[in-house]
Amino acid sequence: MSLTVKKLSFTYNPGLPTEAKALQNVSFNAEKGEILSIVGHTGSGKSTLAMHLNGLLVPQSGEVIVDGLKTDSEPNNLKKIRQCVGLVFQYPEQQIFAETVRDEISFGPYNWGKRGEALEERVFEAMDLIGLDNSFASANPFLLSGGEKRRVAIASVLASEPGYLVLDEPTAGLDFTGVCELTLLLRSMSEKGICVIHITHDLELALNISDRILIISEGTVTAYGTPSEISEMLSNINVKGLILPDILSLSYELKKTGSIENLTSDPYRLAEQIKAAKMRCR
Amino acid sequence: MAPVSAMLPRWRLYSWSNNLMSSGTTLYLKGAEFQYPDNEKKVLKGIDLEIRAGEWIALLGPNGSGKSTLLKLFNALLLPSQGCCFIDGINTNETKSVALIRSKVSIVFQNPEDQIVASVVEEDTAFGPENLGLRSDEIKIRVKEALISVGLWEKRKHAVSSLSGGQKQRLALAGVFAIRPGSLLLDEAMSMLDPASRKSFLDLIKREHSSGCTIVQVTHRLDEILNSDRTVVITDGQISWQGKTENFLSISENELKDMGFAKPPVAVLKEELVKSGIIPGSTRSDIGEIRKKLCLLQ
Ligand SMILES: Nc1ncnc2c1ncn2[C@@H]1O[C@H](COP(=O)(O)OP(=O)(O)O)[C@@H](O)[C@H]1O
Ligand SMILES: Nc1ncnc2c1ncn2[C@@H]1O[C@H](COP(=O)(O)OP(=O)(O)O)[C@@H](O)[C@H]1O
Ligand SMILES: [Mg+2]
Ligand SMILES: [Mg+2]
Repeated sequence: MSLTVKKLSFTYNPGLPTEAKALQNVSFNAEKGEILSIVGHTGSGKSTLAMHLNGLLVPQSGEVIVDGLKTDSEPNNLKKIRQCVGLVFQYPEQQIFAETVRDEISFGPYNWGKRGEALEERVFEAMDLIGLDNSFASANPFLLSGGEKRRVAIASVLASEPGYLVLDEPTAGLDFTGVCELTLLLRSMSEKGICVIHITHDLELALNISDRILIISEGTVTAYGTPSEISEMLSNINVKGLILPDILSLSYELKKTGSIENLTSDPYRLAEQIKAAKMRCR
Repeated sequence: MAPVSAMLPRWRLYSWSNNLMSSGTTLYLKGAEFQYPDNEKKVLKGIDLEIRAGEWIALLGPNGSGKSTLLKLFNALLLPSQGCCFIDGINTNETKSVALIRSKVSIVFQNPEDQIVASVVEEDTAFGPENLGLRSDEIKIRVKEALISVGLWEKRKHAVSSLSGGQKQRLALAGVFAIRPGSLLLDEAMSMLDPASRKSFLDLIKREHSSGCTIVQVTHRLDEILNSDRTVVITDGQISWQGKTENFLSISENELKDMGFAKPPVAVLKEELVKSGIIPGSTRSDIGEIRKKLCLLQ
């Protein structure tokens, strides 16, 4: 059971003056139970890729296969795929439409045929997962804080019990506490066996929370691997629009000059190594 | 409930003014309180804050603590319900001075949609200078300079609606640059930018600051405030901490976490190295400076 993207390419408005190549020959694989971060600069194609994962866009060439089903096959499969791959858009709170949190979160499972108690159960389970207590059920989502709205929007996707959760820049605009809560949440989702595909432009965050990282630049994959593999790779390649975390880039330099052994983006580990290297003031 | 914008004139309403600022504005709040008409809660509860001309202030605080409201007092979009607000000594409650105040104080809003007024990129940027009553050749120069500096010159003929969120934030900044205000208030103005654009956006702010502009920067990310002079933290409508930014950054990681902030990794590194006597305590939390000090040691 996994989500596989094979040689996916996509161009907006092909043949027109406004033509934009968004994805070129993108391939990767995401497994249940992992957090895969997709990292890239603005305009690198992240959102276009996200929309391919649940069949909102279908490949112009290449393929996307979810649990064995291709997104460009018969409509029946597409329906299954949509249910199985939950997509949380960028600024999802902007798409909130219902008058109560309960109605907002019910929308998905209702569409997939849940009614009565089963529906109610889904709603409360999703709220529980995302850390919204039951008292929120009758609240007006428009009056909640930014972080709370974001959680309602994510809960409404979780309510459909997706096996894959794709989140497009879920931490944008959240304060630190919000970011911490969200990353813990992503971790607990993945521990429950959900495959979390986390889209971000923040390499530092990705290095800290992911099992694997895919870096895309101008529509093509430039690096793919575990955080430590990625740290190694980035010392050799220059990815357009990608700023290396300060600590990591200093650790490259110090490693190159032979002062330290290991690359790291953790300030404590870098400091330890510098101390060990006995770079002392005289 | 009525949005603030319905209660007050559009923020970008400037009248002709020859008092264009090239040097920084002083911003002063004295015992300022604020309460929205249809909200029982007092949002600001007695703020005393004096911001000197040319100072760079980082204004921090959790969501809902009153930061955006405070900024709106400074350009007379809102008036204090108690206490007062002075801009270069002018009380913001003098209606006749509102235009002058707005030419001195520009806000880049949290949501760029709130301040985009035209449908074509270059027209939007021209809006501010047009309202200042500038000559058309001067407007052209300013628009070009502003759009080049935010990297949108190539898109000057494009529809605003075709821009991404990050591009709209940069357009909002261009509109404000073109006015050349004496103070720039940034309300989470970089929240939608990726790290590369964030870096160039910060460089632009540094440039404005070094030309004397007063900066008030609201953000959640401490790695954006490393260049500020002073940090002010608002909690529940009151100032809960203020002091030099370097002192704020040397608060321990756990204590900052309790205050709701992530200590920037650079500040953590600096502190660890200072603690073990590798670099001097006077080193700023800046990777370039730490690098230099380390190189000197090798
Ligand atoms: N609806 C669209 N029509 C035309 N071009 C688009 C559209 N959406 C995105 N693009 C273009 O496709 C490229 C990738 O965009 P996107 O997937 O949104 O990137 P990201 O999410 O990484 O910022 C960009 O060059 C963008 O301008
Ligand atoms: N137009 C408004 N009407 C009523 N209450 C508002 C309005 N705008 C903000 N508030 C309330 O004022 C408080 C402070 O909001 P704000 O200044 O936007 O905080 P921050 O910018 O720090 O997140 C919040 O509790 C918010 O709900
Ligand atoms: Mg996107
Ligand atoms: Mg705000």
